[in-house]
Amino acid sequence: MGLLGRAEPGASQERFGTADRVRFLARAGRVLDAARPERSIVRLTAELFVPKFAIACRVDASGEEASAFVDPQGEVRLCVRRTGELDEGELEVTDVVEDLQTRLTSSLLSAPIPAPTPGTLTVIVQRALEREDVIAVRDVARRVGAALERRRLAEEARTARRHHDELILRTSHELRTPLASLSLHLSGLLRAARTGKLGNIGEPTIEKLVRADAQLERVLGHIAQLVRKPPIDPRAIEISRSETDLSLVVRDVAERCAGKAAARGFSLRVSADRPVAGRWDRELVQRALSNLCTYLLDSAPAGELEIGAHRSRGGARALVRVQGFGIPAADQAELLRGGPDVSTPDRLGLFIARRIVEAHGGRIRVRSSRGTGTELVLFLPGTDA
Amino acid sequence: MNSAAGPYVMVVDDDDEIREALADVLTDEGYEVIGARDGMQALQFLREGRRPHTILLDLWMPVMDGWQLRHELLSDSKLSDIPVIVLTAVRDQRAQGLMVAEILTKPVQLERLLGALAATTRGS
Repeated sequence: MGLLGRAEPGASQERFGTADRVRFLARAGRVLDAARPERSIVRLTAELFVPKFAIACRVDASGEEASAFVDPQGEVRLCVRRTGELDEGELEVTDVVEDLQTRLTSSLLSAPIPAPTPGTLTVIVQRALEREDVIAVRDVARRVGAALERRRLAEEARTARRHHDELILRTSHELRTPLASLSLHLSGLLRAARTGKLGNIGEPTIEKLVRADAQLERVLGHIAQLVRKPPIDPRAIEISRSETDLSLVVRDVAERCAGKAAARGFSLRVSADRPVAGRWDRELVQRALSNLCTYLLDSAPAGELEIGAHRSRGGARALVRVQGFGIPAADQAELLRGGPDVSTPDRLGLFIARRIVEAHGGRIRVRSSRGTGTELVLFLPGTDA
Repeated sequence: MNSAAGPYVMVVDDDDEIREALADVLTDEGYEVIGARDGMQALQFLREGRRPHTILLDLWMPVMDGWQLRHELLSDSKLSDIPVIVLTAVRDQRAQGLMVAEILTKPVQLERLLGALAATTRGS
């Protein structure tokens, strides 16, 4: 049960007139149309209604429900949970709403949130309901339905894109392995035929083997082109946020890089002891950080690679640092502000890292000089308190 | 694997088909071939058995990958000078740092592979 604020003393919805309703609907449209993917639509809706329009609001849709209300002390409270989950707040919300219904002169209005994500929007207002109130609540319910549907479609598109990329990678690999084996056998056969190891084989048969070999090369070339396409299009990165501990991500990346670091003669230093929690796309942040580590492991001379996670003003920072290696200034600009450069895996990796961070509303900073070394800092806004 | 009297080559690849195809064509060319399914098995063969003239090494394998095996080889004075030819499915510039005789991309062209092998086993 969260505390949102306090209703203005003496504030009463009895004076909620036509101009107020128009302003309310305009704001509702803006908020719901521009809701960022990580924000809960049902929560935003409950916050919209209370305390300006209503003294209580309950929104139940898409497997989530949010209740906002003004308690008897004038505090605005909010409870959000998955539909069907009971917690201590359940009793509290019900009690308070019942208390409001019996204690005050109030009206209750319920409007359906339309399919395909059906639900219910219920508000309690501290006045006699007017026709415009009914229209306003129904209008917001429709907008909630549309916002939920947009979100569902975006999620479906994201999932479809991931499946598509995975399918291409998997299919390419599955095709290439047997074809590579076939190619070796065919080349061996052709070579044996040409050198007379297979006995007296006529030129037409050898010609057929040559053509078969060429066709196989062609197929393998097409498959190689498929694989060269980056599995994630760096120009269209979509993020899916969830509770993420950046320190845990850093430790995972360090573990994954350990083998490569050892092979390249690096020692690893990890500074990620304290949880740094926030709502980020764990998988993508891990990928961004891995790309930065890979870049330094490939570019810098052997030494110590430091990787860490820390809280920062307004967000969190993950950093990767090496000593005694400087990226030339011209390259810094190209690496972190340029377009996608797929000429090398590392260049593409840096670009993808940058786009992942930018998709989170963050940025990558480079500090680099030949004398002191290179530090790549990935800043992600927003942490859990 | 077939045995012949030619140069001795170890093929390290987790894919049975690729390993056997390489063994077939190399045996036909007069090489003696032994296969290992991952870096760990290769290391075991190398420490317990005959020393090959050349190792053909895949990079991406389970248990112990090619990067780790190369690190182990370079750390062992008895094995560090065995020539290695990398066969990799993904063109990866990081492989340049492995200090190997040749890096070939799969699907490998037989003529190029035989040329690289001839260069590393010359005189054996």
